Amino acid sequence: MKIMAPLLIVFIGGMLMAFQYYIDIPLLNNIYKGVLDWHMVIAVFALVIAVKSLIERQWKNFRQKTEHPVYPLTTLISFFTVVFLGIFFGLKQGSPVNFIYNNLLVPLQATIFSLLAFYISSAAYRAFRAKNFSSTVLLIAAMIVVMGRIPLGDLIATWTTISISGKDFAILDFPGWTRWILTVPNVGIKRAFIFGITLGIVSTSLKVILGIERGWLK
Amino acid sequence: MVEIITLILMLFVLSFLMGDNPFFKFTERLIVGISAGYGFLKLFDDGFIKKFWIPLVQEGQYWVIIPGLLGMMFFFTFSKKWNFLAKYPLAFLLGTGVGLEIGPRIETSILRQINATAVNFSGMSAGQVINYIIILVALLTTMYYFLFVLRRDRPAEKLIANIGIFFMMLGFGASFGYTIMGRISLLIEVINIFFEKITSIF
Repeated sequence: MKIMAPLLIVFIGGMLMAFQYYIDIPLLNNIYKGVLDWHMVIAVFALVIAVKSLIERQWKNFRQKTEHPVYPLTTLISFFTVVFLGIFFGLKQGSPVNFIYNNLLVPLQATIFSLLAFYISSAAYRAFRAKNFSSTVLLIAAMIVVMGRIPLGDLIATWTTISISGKDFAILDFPGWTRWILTVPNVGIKRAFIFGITLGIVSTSLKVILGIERGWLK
Repeated sequence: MVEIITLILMLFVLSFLMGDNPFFKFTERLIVGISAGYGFLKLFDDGFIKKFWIPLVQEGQYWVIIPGLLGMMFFFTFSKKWNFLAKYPLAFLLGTGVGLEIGPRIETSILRQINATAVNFSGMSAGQVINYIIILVALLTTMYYFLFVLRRDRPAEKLIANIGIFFMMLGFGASFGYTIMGRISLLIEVINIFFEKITSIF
């Protein structure tokens, strides 16, 4: 019972949702719409557990002093401040939470992501070395795309444009080459990866529905 | 005032470039707290208020009690005796979630992709035909490279796999270059925000 009931729920739920995509029955369509709403409702309760875990963990760190107490306190205070402000003033435009979101969270998250520019540049320095044929292809493709997406690439294309029998032709057309690489060979390899990933997702989904994959029950 | 605080916190984040330090750690924890609080409020508003409370109290849709009870079963996680009941809502989310994935995934990621690759060449220019052939060759050789069950002893088989590697390197290089430019654009944007805030203060 402890194992069979969840497996049965997974099987029935999975089969119903998989078939409703292919079978146009009003009842199944209504169930589909209901299930989407149910997911949202159930997820809220799961979130309560996540929040409890976050608070517990920070409180434990604070009590046991595994790190400087300022850090867990900062997390707890900022979390509760946002939650209380949200409960009392809502999330609508112009509310305190919306103000914090726009003036604090968005610029700070953008700044954190912008840090990646430095690390990706460092990674590029190490990766872009013409050691063999494959790495040379990688280097050339990356350089073309980088040149094609900066204003200098457009300028070079303009400077090297010549007219052949009335038609303009850029010798170093980095933006055009970039477009071609991204829309022709890149599309081909992306499709190959998409096929692989999708077959993996579908086979894993079927394993879950049929009860072959039971790791989540532990 | 807020501009100054944001500016200082942005500097704290950027200080990570010199190594991990207390200023960055403080800002990192602040972001975690605010993000968690905002995420909780958003899901509470979208999920609990709009999909549970309003339908139940204002619209009299009593059937929403079922997902409510199912969600509450998550709290059995804290009971050693009734722990197994917490698997029921998880089973519902997992089963219906993976079931919902299968159909659209097969449709968009396999059937439509095959449809876009296996095109009719009639009426196309020579350039378009060559491009579609390159897409097809890139697709097939890349897939061939990943068919590890096949032996690649003969020169022709090695050549096909090597063509696959060539296309993959071309694609990876392009994607990497594209990502670098994306990140640099974001950095430029952040620097712009930074200077805008400085000019608004002074």
